[in-house]
Amino acid sequence: MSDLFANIKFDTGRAIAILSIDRKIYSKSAILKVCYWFSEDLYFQVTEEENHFSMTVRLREATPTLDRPSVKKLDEWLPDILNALVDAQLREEIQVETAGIRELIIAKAFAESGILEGLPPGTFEDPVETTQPESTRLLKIDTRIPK
Amino acid sequence: MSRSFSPKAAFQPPETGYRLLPFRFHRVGKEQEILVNECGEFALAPRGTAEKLVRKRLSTDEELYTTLKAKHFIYDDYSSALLDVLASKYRTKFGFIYEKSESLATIRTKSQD
Repeated sequence: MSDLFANIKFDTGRAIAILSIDRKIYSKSAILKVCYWFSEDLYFQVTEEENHFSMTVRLREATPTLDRPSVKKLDEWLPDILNALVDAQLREEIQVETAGIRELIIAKAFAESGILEGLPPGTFEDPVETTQPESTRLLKIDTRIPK
Repeated sequence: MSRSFSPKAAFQPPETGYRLLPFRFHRVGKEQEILVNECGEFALAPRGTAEKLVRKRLSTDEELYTTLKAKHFIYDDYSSALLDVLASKYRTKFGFIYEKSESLATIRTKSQD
């Protein structure tokens, strides 16, 4: 298994791993999605270098506890992280390639109803219309402090 | 007037290849992955299928090609007209969201009157 991770740097206790991720292959958002996905069990730090992203991975809990009697080693997490990176990047590529057709399908789906012709109520900056007069607000907000 | 089928060659997949329709995927176990399209239709496929699809390495001779085409994961020149079917399925599945937003807008308009 250690040969598989020849390009990954470890600290002496193999509790921290530093992955060098080629930025020509993986996007920043794909990397961050992977970090989020594993954040329950691992800590991540991502830094941006000239040609690559550097991802530092550390176990949240390295020793077994009563709550978690069996702890996966960092070596055991790495294949999952590498697979998740590939998956996240593929999902991005699918999203980019299908963005146009997705919009077309939605437009076709709701074109006859005319629902998409009108703008949704409110604005992005003021979604509950707090700046509008109270009589025309979509949502009534009671600002009084309860006694 | 007699009717006859077109020759077999007319039903062959086009050589121009296929294009992707929006879908999501997730690995299931060590050998399979699940692909789910915009309308919730799904297909269990061998692991690596999503990558094969994205890299356009899925052969048109494979049975999986016709399955994924039928379930609206990919389309080609022949099946592009079926996008209306997909749009119809999408409307059936997500129409309630737009109906809700429309009724909300109607309530708002009436309250302004």
